[in-house]
Amino acid sequence: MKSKSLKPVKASPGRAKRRHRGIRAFTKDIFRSISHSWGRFWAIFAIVALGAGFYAGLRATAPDMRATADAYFDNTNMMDIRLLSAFGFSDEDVEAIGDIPGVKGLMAGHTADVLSVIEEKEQAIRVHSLPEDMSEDNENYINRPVLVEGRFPEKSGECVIGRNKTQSGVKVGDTITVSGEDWEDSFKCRTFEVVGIVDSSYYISFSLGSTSIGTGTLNLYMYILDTDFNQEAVTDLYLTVDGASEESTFSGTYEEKVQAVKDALKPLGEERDDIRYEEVTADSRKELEDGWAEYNEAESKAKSELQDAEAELTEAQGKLEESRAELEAGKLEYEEGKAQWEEKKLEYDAAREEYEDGRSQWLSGYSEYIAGLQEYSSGMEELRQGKQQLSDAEQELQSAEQQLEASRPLYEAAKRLKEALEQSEASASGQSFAGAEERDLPEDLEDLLDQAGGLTEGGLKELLGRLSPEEQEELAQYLDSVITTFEENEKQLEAGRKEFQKQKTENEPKLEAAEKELTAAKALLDETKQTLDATKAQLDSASAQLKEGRTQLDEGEKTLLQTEKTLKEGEAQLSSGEKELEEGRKEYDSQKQKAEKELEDAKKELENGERKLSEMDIPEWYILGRDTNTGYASFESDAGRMDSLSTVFPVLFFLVAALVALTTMTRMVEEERVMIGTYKALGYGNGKIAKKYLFYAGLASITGSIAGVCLGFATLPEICWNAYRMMYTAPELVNQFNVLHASVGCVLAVLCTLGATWAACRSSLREQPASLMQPKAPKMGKRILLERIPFIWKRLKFTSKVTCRNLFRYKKRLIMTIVGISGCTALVVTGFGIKDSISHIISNQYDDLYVYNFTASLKDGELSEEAEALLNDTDTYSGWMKSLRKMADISAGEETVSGYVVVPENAGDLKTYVKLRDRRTHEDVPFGEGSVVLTEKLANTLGVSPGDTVTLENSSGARKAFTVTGITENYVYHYAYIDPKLYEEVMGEKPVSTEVDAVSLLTDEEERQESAQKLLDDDSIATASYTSDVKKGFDDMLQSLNSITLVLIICAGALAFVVLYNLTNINVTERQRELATIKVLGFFNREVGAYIYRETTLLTIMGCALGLVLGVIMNSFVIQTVEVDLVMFPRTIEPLSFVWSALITILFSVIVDLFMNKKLRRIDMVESLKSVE
Amino acid sequence: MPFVEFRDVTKFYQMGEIRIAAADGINFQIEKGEFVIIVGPSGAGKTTVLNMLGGMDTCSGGEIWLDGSKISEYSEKQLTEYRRYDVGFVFQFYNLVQNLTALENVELASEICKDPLPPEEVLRQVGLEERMGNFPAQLSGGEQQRVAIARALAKNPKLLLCDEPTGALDYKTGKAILKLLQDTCRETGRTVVVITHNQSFAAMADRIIRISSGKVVDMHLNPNPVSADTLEW
Repeated sequence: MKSKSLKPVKASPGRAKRRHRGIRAFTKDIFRSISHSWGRFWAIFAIVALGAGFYAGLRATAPDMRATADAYFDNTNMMDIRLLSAFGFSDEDVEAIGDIPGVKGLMAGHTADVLSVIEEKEQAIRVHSLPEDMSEDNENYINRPVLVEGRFPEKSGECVIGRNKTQSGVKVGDTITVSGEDWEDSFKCRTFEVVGIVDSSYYISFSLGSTSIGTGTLNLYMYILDTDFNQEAVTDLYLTVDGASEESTFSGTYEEKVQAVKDALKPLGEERDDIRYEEVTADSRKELEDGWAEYNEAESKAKSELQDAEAELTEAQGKLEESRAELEAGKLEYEEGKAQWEEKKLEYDAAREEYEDGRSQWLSGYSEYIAGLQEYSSGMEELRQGKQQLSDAEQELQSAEQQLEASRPLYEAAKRLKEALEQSEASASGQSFAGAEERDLPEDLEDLLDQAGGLTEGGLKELLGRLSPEEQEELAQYLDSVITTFEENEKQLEAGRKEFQKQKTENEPKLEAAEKELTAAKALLDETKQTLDATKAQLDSASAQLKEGRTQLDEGEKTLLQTEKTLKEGEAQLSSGEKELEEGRKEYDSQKQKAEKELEDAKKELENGERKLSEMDIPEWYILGRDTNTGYASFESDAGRMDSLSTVFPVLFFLVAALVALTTMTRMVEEERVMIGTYKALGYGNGKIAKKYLFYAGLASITGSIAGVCLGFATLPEICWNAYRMMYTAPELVNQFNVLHASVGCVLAVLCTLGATWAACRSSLREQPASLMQPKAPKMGKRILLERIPFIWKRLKFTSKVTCRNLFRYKKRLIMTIVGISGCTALVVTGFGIKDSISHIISNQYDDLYVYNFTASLKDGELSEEAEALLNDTDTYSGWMKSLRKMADISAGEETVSGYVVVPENAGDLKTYVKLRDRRTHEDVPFGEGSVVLTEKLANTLGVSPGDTVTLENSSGARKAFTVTGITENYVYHYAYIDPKLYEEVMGEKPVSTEVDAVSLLTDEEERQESAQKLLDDDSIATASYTSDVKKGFDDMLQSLNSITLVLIICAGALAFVVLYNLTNINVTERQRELATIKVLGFFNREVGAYIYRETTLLTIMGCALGLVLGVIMNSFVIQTVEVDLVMFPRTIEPLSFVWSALITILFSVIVDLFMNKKLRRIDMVESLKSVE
Repeated sequence: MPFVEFRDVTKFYQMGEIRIAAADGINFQIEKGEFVIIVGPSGAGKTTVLNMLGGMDTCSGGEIWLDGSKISEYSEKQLTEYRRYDVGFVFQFYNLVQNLTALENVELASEICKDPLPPEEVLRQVGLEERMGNFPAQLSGGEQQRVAIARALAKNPKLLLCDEPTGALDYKTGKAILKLLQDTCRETGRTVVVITHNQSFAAMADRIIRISSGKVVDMHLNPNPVSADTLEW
């Protein structure tokens, strides 16, 4: 400073040159003052760069986004106007539209929404037509899709599909088959091969909008050749407007140009509408007439058919009855026959018994007879034996007589011999048998006897003479035995004869009696035999008779059985006949009913058609601009959101930057007070002197702002765009150098700084040089408010007192610092707040509010028993609820929001699966009969509160009003929960459940998939998914905002740093002398540091605290502006985020302190010896 | 051994290519309890001597001793401690903290000492009993200097260093301050070193050290120092 104050003095001589050299010296001084205070220069440079850069960068983002989109729309020849009509368009319509001035291109196309099952999920697809001429220079080729992969369709059955990273996994080469049976209404073929993947400016957003089919959400879009459409009338007309592409699509001039054509279309529409109405209604009328004719014909035909059938039935019945009577007669006969047969059987049985009796009698008689016979024959035998005995005895007697006679000669011989012997014995006693040896003496005596018998006496004597006495003796002996034996035998025989005679006389009569008896018995027996034989013959004939009777009976039985069988058969036939008849009758009834119902339906339909026709308004052309395109509209609102975001944040930056610049320059001017005085004393004008500071500040701010703007342009739009690109299929950012925002940013920054500088200079320049040369009276110490509260003051440490006093001494700086720091903290809080909001959406919605974690959609409103059983398995699901959920337009007054209408099957179930509560108080929102509960954002957008009415369209397009009963916390999508009874009552149609919400208890991923698959396999279930999947999808989408948040936090942090550094720097510089003094007093470095830091810290803490409060306010404002349409960001900021925001600010303050430490060390104590400047 | 001793103390400043000798071999001794006047013209190097003696600056060569300690070899931290505990400063421009009252300015110093004197007591000693609660801006120059002296004394230092204590004061007030310093020396036996360009102060000192062009040109004892009241200049 010494040298600085010297310079002007040197530049004095030469009046003519003085000016010139003065300027040079003056300029030198300026540059030197920069080089002598780089810190200050950089501080201004940086703060201005930050402010301007942030402003310009953020401000340029939305225009860049718009420019990008505009270029994209122009390149793809996006439609400016879309025409829709309930009846489609005729060729004449198209021609007439083409003739309207201002219409540049005109594409007549077809559109159809269809369902198709892709990857086991039913997806709603919007099918558009591609014109035949797809060449670049065909200006009638509108909404040109941009090929991403593959090629465009060339022949029938090919399609290109829209790229959509969130839902579809469709690849080139896949086929898409249209579900449902009425595909022929729209297309010529049913299956389309994907030959390419496209982006379309018509579908710039990944969320494609809603449809009337499926779940109400459009999942995909595709293009097929126009010739594949089977629709007669043109359903969609796209127009481009002359000169519109030259304008930015978001600009007013674009709007004007398009509006002009729209205005011209309107009267044409009205005119053409009538014609078209006539055309179409003529058709309808004809159709109705035909229908009636058909109906009548069908009715009479049905009637006659029914009559025929009835007659047939009656006839059949008559026949049956006849048969029945016959059968009954047959039965009777049979019964009779049966009785007869039984009688006969009885008879037969009696005869048989008799026969058996007779037979047994006969048998016993016979056996008696046999016994008699036996007796008889044994008697006969006895008799014969008796006779035999007699004859035997006689014979024996005779034989004994014979024997005796036979032996008589012998006897006689013996006798004669004996006599001879006795004589000889006397005479011849000595002669004896001298010669005996020479004679032939018989061998034995018998033979001797035999010989003797024949011998004469003389012979005998000779014989005897030959015998020796011994022989004679022996002979005599022998002759004696023979004579005795013979005599004995003779006696015996005589006795035997006598015996026999006695016996004979005794037995002969007996035998004769016996014989007589026997003969009588024999006669009796023979008689008996005769009787028996007669009986036998009788019996035999009876037996034969019986046998015959038996066969007769058997035959009769057989016949009876046969008859029975026949009867039974007849019965069976009859009953089957009856059954048939019954069935026939039933069939007849059902057919009759059916026919009647069909007729009834047909009639109703016809009547309906008639009513509709009579009700049918003359169709209206819907002339729609780009802003009705879902993607366009959401892009426009996103860009708008970006715009508002870019207005809020930079303002704060600017404010802080201006404050910093003001403080810095004020300080600078004050520092150079003496020099200003010197300059003044030397005769420099106020302006000139001010110029120095203005130049200084100007240089810093101009360079800073240019650097900042360049940096801001290069980074911020790109970052934000990349974040948004996660939700849009849009090309690379068109990064424009936005001159307007650049210059506004620079000029604002420069003006702010210069203004601040001027303000700082002005007061000093107004003073007289003399007083300027005097050191400015040091700011008087003052007692602060706190000291009036001795209670606290006395308790403060000395150092704290000093700090407090110092803080309040420099009120301006205090305010600056607090404002600066609080601004930064608020920015950081906001950054974190957005981040928190985003991360909370998901958990709030899916973890807190949705109790259910599993959703399955139904194919046609009903759950099969199997599926129900699966859902009722308490191991897998703790409960489930059926409900109707469909996308619908919900309106109140002018506002219309599309959201989901949810009608639970049972009103009581809803709250088990979805929490309804107030966001702030968490108070329960009741749901029961008559309840209509809207979600918070829906209610806010519609501007309704409980008690107000909202309207819904029913399926026939009539608007029905509901009274809102409650508003509930909700973050994702819009819902209107309506009581089923009320819904039915008001809408006039029964709510058909479309889905099942369940609470799955499974935690294992595999098990979850398995159980979902089981349900998916069921025919009544179309889709099944866990909310965790949806959650993930959302998470990805919302991540985009996270990077913006990061930018915000970093920028805010940088700002905090610059502000703190600058203010601390000023603080230190300003109090250099004081610091030098305390150093001399022996304060250690850290104590000197603490002396300053205590203040900085306190200011930081105060700023932080204020910033946290400001942050909450700012956050809620910013959140509102950045919110996505379908999503409400929770306003909550995590406590931890406050901590982090504070910590970040404090961290910067610590870093600044560390920087300052160096500076503090460098403070020269000798400074304290100098005079006050 | 003398209480304070400078032995061939040199101090050079490098100003670009020129080496300026602010102290070029200074030698002197001071005994304990003496009232010393270091006198010399502007630029003679007396402030340099004061800086070095006060531990605010280091010497380029030679030795500085105080009460048996070799100050010249102290580290920065030791120097700070030395300033903190052993030296009291009185500045030409008082260097009071504007934001603190008289009493608080004294407390500022006494807070950091090992054995401080009670601030109120010291202030009473310097005759500011009534003005303790006033801020510097509310005090006259003389009063401010008294506060400064009180601040220095309150630290109960071994050595009281005064740099042109009357430089910013009018004659009468200056004299009163000098008297205060002299009385302090006499009454408390504290060694007081006053640096001035004013030759006429020499009469009141026990020891006079004359410095010129970075050298001690004369040092002598004054056997009969006069009271500050009687000084005329």
